[in-house]
This record gives sequence, C-alpha cells and structure tokens, in this order.
Amino acid sequence: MKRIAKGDEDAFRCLYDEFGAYVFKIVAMQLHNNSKAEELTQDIFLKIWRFASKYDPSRPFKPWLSRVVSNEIISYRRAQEERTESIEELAETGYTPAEEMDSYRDRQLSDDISYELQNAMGILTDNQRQVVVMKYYEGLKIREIADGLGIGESAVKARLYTALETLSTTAQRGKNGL
Amino acid sequence: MDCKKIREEFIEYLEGSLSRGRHETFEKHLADCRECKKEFEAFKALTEKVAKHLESQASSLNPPAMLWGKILKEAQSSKKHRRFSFLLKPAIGIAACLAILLAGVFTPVFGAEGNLINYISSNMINSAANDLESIYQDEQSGGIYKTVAIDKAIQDAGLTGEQYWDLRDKGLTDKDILIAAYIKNNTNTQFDNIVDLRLAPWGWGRIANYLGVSVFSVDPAIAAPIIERKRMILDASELEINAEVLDHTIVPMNFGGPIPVPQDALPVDESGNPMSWEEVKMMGCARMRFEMKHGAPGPRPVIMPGHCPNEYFETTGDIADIEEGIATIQTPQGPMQVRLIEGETAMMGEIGEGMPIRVRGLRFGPRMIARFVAPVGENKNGQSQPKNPKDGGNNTQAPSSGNKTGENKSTPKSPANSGTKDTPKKTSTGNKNQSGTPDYLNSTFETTLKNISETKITTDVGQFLINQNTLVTVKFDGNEFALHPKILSIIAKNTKLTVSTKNGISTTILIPNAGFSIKKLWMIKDDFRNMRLLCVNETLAEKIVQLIPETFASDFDGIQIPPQKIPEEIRPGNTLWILEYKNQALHIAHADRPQPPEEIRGEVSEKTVSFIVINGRQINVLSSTECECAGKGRGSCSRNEINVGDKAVAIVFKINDKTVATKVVKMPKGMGGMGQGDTKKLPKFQIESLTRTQNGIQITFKDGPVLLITPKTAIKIIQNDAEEIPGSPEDLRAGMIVGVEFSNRQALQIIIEP
Repeated sequence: MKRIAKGDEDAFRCLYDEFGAYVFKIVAMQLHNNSKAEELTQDIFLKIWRFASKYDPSRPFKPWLSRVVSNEIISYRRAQEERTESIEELAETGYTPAEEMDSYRDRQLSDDISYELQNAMGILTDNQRQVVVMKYYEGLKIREIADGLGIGESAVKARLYTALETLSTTAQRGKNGL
Repeated sequence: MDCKKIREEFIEYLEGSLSRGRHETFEKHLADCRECKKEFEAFKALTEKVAKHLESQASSLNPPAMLWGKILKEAQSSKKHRRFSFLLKPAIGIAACLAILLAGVFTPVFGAEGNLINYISSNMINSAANDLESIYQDEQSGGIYKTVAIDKAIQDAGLTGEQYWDLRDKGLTDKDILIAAYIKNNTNTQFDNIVDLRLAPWGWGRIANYLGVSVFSVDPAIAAPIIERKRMILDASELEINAEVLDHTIVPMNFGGPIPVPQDALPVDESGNPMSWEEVKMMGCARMRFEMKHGAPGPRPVIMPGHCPNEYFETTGDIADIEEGIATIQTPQGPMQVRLIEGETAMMGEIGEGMPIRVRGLRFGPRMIARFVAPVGENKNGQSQPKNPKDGGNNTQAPSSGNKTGENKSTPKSPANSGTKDTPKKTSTGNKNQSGTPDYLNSTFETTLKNISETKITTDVGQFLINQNTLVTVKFDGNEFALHPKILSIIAKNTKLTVSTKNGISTTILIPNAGFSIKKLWMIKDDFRNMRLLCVNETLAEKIVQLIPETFASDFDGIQIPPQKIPEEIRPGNTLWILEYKNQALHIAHADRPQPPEEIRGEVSEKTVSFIVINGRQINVLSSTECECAGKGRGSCSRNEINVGDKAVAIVFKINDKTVATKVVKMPKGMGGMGQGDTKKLPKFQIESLTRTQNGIQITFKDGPVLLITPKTAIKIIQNDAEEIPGSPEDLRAGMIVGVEFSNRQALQIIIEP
C-alpha cells in the first residue's frame, strides 16, 4: 500500500490481482447486478489508488478493504431511488415468516436447496444481504462487520438472525412448492 | 444460563469470539440441553449451506478480463492530476462560484459552452446520449444494434438517409445527430439551425439553454428510448434491414459494421424459395429480414429483392478532382461526385487527379459513396467507358470481386503524376498493369496494416476480403505461426505485412517480426479461468500476460487447439511459448511437457516478503500465490497471516531448481484426527494405487475409474465436527475409501473421511 500511495502501478496491479476478483464477487453478490458490480469495483480500486496513503499499515488490510467496499455499496444504494422490496413490506401484505420460525431443526434443508436459496437471497433486504455476504462469504466477525458498516454489534446480529430465518423459511417454502 | 441466551450466542460461538468463560458455559449448556444442541446443529448446518451457496455463487462471478485495463487507465489519468490536486481542491468551489458570477464575461473558460451552467447542462445531455454509444460497443452483434438504433433515431428526427450522411459529412457524430433530433423534437427550431449552432461551434448545454430545452428531461428523452430500442432488438423475433451482401456477411447500407451470418444460413426469397448466396450477392443490395437468435442473425434470412431503396452502382471514369475525400469523376454521362471512404475504399493511396478508375459503391439519391475503387487496366483510346452501355456510366450492377482489369478502355496514367502524396511501397510479385501499378486483386505485395477483422483486411492500398481459406501467419526467427485474424486486430496499426490476393480475396497475410515481441519462454502460474496469466520467466521476474478471448493455442505437435479448450489444456506448471503483444497473449503453445506439482508440508521455519521455508526448503511466494487458511471458513487469508511456527502445506513447482509456490495452505493449530463427517452425495471408491505421472498424480480406484489429480483438484478432509479442511494428494493412501467427484477422467473433488 505504501508503494501504491507513491503511485507504483506494478504494486497496484499486484493488489488488483490478489483482490480484484474478490471485490467484484462481493459487490456482484450484494447488488445482484454484474454490470454495476464492474462499475463499483472500478470505483473501489480507484479509491484505493487515490487514498492509499490513508491506509494505516499497522492494521490488517482485509477489514480495511471490506470497509471501503461497504462504504461504496452504501453510497451506491443511497443514490438509488428504487428500493428492493423488503421483507418488512412483504409482511405488510400478509406474509409473516415469523410464524414459521419456531425452530431451525424443523426446517432441516436438504443439500439441493441451492435454487431455493438463490431465490431466498433475492428476497432479503439490501442490509440483510450485505451482512450475510460479509459474514458467510467474506468470513468477517460480528465486530468487523459492525466496524465496517458503522453500526452496533447487536444490530449486526439482529440483521443476521433475521436474514437467516428468512433464508431458511423462504428456501423451505420454495422447496415445498409453496 | 437459559436457552434463549444460549441461542443468541450461536454466531459468536461459531466464529470463536465468545470469552473463555462464556465459551465453556455455552458448551456445558449444549451438553446438558438436548433441545439447544439440536437447535444449534440445525443452525450450524444452515450457515454452512448459506456459506456454501455463496461460495458457489461467487465461483461463477468473475470480473471482465478488461476491467483492469479500465482501472489502470483511470488511475493513470488521475495520476496526472494528483500532484496538483491539493491546490485544486479548495479552488474548485471558489472557481465554480466565480464562474457563475462571471458567466458570459470570461466565456473562454468554458470553451464552447460559454459558462458553467451550460457546461453542467452539456454534461447532463452528453451523459444521457452516451448510452447511444454504449449500445453497440463491445457487442458481438453491435452492427445490428447500431444500424437499427440509429435508423430509429434519425427517423424520429424526420431525417432521410441522405440527410444523415450530409450531417456526418459536416463532422457531426451519431451522438450529435441524436441530440440534435431530440432538441428539434422539443422545440420549434429548424434542424438546420441547431446544426449551425453546433458547428459554430456551440456546446450542447449552451444550445439547449439558448433554445429553452430543459436538460432535466434529457435522460428519459434520449437514453430511455435507446435502451428500450435495444431491448426490443434483443427481444425481437424478426428484424429487417437494408444491406449489402458479401460472403456470409451483410453490411448494413447506412450504418454499422459488417454482421456475420451463420455459415449454414440458407437465404430464401419472400415466397420461401431457397436462394444461393451468389444470387443474393448479385443483387448488391437487398432488404433482408431475419430471425434473431441470441442477438445475432438466425439461419434463415429472407431476401426481398427490389425493396432496397439504395442503389448499388459500378462505373468507370477519369478523376477530375479530389478534394477533402470527394472525388469528381468524369464519366461519359457527365461529372459524378463520389465520396471516398477512408479505409473502406481500395487504392486510397493510389488514386489521384487524372487517373482512370473503376468505382463500386452505393448511391443515396444524388450522392455516391465509394466502397471500392481500383485503377483500371490498359486503355487504348484514352476514353473511359461505362461497363453497361444501357445504363451509361452510372448503372446499377452487381458487385464483383473478380479482376476486371482491362475491361475498360481508359488510358492509364502514372500514379507518380497523379497528385497523390502517399503512394505505398509495392513489392508485387504478381500481375501489373502498364502503369506499373500492381494488380492488387491478384498479386503479392507489401503494404501496411490499417485494420483487420474476421471478414476483411484494410491496408494502405485498400481493402481485401478474408475468407475461411485465408492463411494469416506471423513470422519470427524463421518460424511461421498461423494466427486467427482477430488476434492481429489487436496489433498496432501501421504494421508492415505482405498480402497475397486472388480475385480480391486475400489468400495469405504474412506479418514479419514487426511491432511486437514474440515467443518468450514463460511458465504458467495462475489460473486460466479468470483469463489472466501470471507467468514466471527463468530469472523469476514476474510478468502478467492478459489472455484475450481470441487467443489461440497449439499443443506439442503444433495442432491448433480451439480457444475454448485453453483452460483445459494449459495448466499451471506448464512451460509455454507465448506470442505476446503489449502484455496480451495472442498465441500460446506448449514448449515442454507439464511438470507434476509437488506438495511440501511442515512447519514454517523462516519467512520474508518473498519466500517461506518449510522443512528446510525455501519456497518462493509470488504476489498471486493463493493462500488459504484451513478451517477459517470462506475466503482466503493473505500471506501476511502465515507466520513462522505455522503448519503449512505448499503446492509447488520448480523453475531452474527454484521452488515456486502456487498455493500455500495454513493448517489450523491442533488439527486432530478424523471424525465422522457428511460426505454429501459423492460416490465412494477405494483407492487401489497412486502413481506420479508427467501430468499429475494418477489415482486408480478399485472397481472404479482411473482419474488424474491436478493442482486444481480439491482434496478435503472431514474433521470430527464435520468441518472440512483442505488436504493434499499426500493425504491419500492405497486402501482408503474416499468420496469422489470427477469429470472427463479428472478428479475435481476428493473428500477423505475416516
């Protein structure tokens, strides 16, 4: 990062090689839009290029990168007028997943639920999907996610639990053809 | 601790962030409470499935190969301004305020826009209109989109094809014309007045504000119809365009580039009767209707003779004058003005005033556009003659790629006296006419490449068709490599080449060693699937070579491998020849048999930025070496997280006795024995034998397949708690029963269970 801060393009390339695909995947999974993911990945790396000097080398890089990615996604979403239909909105229309969330073990999922999970991921709110990807793809801890998003750990946990419940229930409903 | 509290700590427990005391309490509760234990196991299984699903989803998501190029370009652009940015930052706001205050006084500050407000408006307008350009860029069927989208746009503006070309002649771009059409439709202004303002030159923001057009409506007014149009094209079951027909290529009459038609396409007429491509070509221009298949023409184009509004012509005459790309040709019927298309008009460097030429092209009302111009052959009476006396010198005739030299009677004049400035070097070994000009349609000559596509090559002496029999080769050190024309399109223009033609179709195109570096010995070290190579040369200097989609490969015997086979055939550890140009691989070939990978496992005893030492062996770790932390869950860890004292497995190969790592896996501390795990649905086989071969490790199963283990084979070990950790081929032993996933005799995944 020091070399990048000095304008070293080779170092920048190395960084892209190591994290380019990783960043793209995270953004694409969160936005469900590959072309936007490409744009945002470009913006993210340009920010790293411009603000590399702000990186504190005494701190681990990956959480820092994760924070940059999160900020960019948040900014992008704020700029969007359209909002993904949220689970709360679905609840207003009579869909109440909480009714079916008594127990995880009652909803043991089989191995071939990828399709249902895929659909279920689409029903999550942006915030829920964000924490799910950060937790279960990026492998970040609750504290790191909270730092990255600038919210409390309890809020992260709440979003995660709600998201997992939604995923579980929705995937099961899909599997059962409901 | 109650059950509710325990269940709220599932996540922290799994990520290991509970304090020691709480951790123990948690485990004790689970041991005592069967309900919570079941609940926890279900929760854990769910999170694993979610993680696995995300990983699976991620594996199919890859950034476009060209993304890095875009980022670098932007970064370099910002770098130029970087050192001044600290001065500019506070100044921008002040400058903006001043600009508004002084708008109209210091107009040169904002160039053609005049002031800041116009400047901002212009940006908004241009931004919306940029979608027009994106509609046909980087698209396989970009020609179709461009043709239809612009056609629709100029229709909306009430323009004819001829008016469109007039505007293009005046220097307006497609985007300009679209914006002008939009402004015309939103004001009562005459189109010509808008064009005049644009040519003044005024910026679009200034014009819009001057004419009272709200820039806030530009996006829906400009971009939305274009995007909608594209969607319609993509969804269309049928499409109609006017086109010139070449061999399995249709060239839209007014706009866009050549559109390839499937080789097996069989044209039919409106009644459904089959037509040959020769018959279609004879028409020169036709109204074509075809089905759209995945955004490209389908196999059954319908030809509608007589529906094409633009006339195709072929004539001969003497050039009376050439000015700004417009040639005035004296024909027996009178002077004719023909616009010559740079790059699409053959012999551009050869023609000049006084020269007798033959012209083929398209007519739009009173205007002519030459698509092909060739000097005529020997002329005995000094008079240019029309080819078809019935139609005079302006007759509509079929295009022909044949050599018509000598068919007319006009007197040839020396190119040296023709007034043209850049006569190309001629090394013709074929026919020449009496003026000494090579017959470019049937000869071999040296020329300079301007552009090359799958269907044609444009040189400084004209344009020649490429068909499937054309051999495109590059020569280096006495060796010739066959290349796909697409590959050469990447090479910089102005490369010297030798072209042999027959009847106007190029038979061979030979590129000598010019303009690009060739054949370096590299060893692959990175994954091909992301279309990028990290190659390492003999001195271990790193080099990144972009693998472009058109890159071709050869195997050991020089047999060409289709591009889509590259990821299968070329693997890390192989030594290759790479024909490289500006860090892009154009052609690759095996230089050596692939070396099998080796695994080194043990404790990391020493570590620097560039290498680690495991079991006394120094292993070079390069910037792209994959590093994983076993048991860490999803994602990988960086080299920074691998430290002295860690247990690690490195997958390595050698270059000149130096060991280079492709992957380093840090093993979790206290990795215990193997427990019962879930082997999913993988079939189980017993290992009979393991043999190290040149291509990797061959594994023979009892009553099962014989498979090859490569560095890409995922080998996993199930731990007690069903957690999977990465393994290596060294973990495999004869007699072991393992779960196996495989494809094409290659092991994709092997799961070891106790």
